[in-house]
Amino acid sequence: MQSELWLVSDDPDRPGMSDEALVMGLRRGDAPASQYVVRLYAPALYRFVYYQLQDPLLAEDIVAEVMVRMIENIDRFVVCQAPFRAWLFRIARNLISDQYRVHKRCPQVSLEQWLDAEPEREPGECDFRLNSVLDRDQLQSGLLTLTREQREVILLHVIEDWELPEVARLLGRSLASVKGLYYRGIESLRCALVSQKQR
Amino acid sequence: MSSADRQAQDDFIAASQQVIAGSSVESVLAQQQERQDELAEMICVVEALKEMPSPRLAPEALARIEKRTQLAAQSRLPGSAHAARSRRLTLLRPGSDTGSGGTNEGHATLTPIYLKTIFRTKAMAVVAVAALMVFAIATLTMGGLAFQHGTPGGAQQLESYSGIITKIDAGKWLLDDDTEMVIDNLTEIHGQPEVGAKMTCIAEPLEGNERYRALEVWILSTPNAPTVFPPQSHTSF
Repeated sequence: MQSELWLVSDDPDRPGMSDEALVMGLRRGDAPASQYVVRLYAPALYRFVYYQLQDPLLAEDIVAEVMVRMIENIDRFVVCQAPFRAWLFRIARNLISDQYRVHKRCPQVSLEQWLDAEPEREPGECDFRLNSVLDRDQLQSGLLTLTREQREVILLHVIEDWELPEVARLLGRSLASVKGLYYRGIESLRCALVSQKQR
Repeated sequence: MSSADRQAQDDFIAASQQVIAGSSVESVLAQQQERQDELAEMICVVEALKEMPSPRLAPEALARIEKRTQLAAQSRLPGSAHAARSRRLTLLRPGSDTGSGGTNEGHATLTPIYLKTIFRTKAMAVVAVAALMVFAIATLTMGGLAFQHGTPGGAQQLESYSGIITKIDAGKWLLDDDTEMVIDNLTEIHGQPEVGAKMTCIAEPLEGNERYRALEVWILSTPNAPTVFPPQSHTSF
């Protein structure tokens, strides 16, 4: 495998390298292979972690730790069993769970808490459907009112463009269950945003 | 869930997937005449999420992650302690590297075929294999001890650490009042260290609680430096 092959496709939309070839390179300790993985997957992992922990430094640390654990355990990865990307996100999920456990930090807040903390920003805009204006902070805060799994499904499906069956495999749930999580998650988020607008 | 609810859920998911794929909310809702009112707000939420500016890794943060990953990858290169351990484990695995081609069965698969050419009796082969296993276990144990104590030949166990510098002494910094970071002439420092500054580093743990030797340090002047958000924009719907 020529090193140049790893570098021709940094664009995540054109992965270009099969999981098999990538894993072989990582097992050999090829520097370009590990660089390729970081450039391809670190930004998405960072978004996924950041939206759940809301701490940029911690998110960076966790992404680095995901990469190190990936290198350390690459011999155990079986290509046919799961996509490489799903494996990385599974490691990230485990590390996020560790954070919840160790620091007792779960960013989920109740809708009531959130509404109390975030007074209406734009008085007069009560018709959510036609005129409401949402900014990033409102959406991020709204995401925190969801359950962890609802948030994960929405982040992976809407933000990261994962297909729902792939999300189901990552979460270890049935497709029907993940569809339910997605539907209820968006509905809960809608309710949270409408309630905030109407206060 | 009733069949009507399931239908509503499926219609929403189909509509939202079109929005995620890039279709406009209006065109998607036009295809859902019966449920237009019901779906409109939820679809708008999906569109707002899709267009929400996402947090981005700053180039220097990406470089730090790359560096740490490269250090981990180096331990896999031939000649490193990890590679040596892997080779030894491969040799210990029953049936591996025997070249038997699957013709041997039962006990024969546990006895590498080349040993049969050297040792004429089964007893001699068993004694030789046992001796090899004792030697291999002893070597692995010593290797493990060397790895734990960081002696030459052992792979470095590296960690990343982020915190606030609370004290600077010659040769060591105190971080977050409880972590000692040894700084020596091999430590690569990016930025100007000062008390109160936020920093992140790649370091190896030393003996004792909360003690590390820094290999590379980045001083972050502002608490949120690694995260770069695009300019705040509003999403209308």
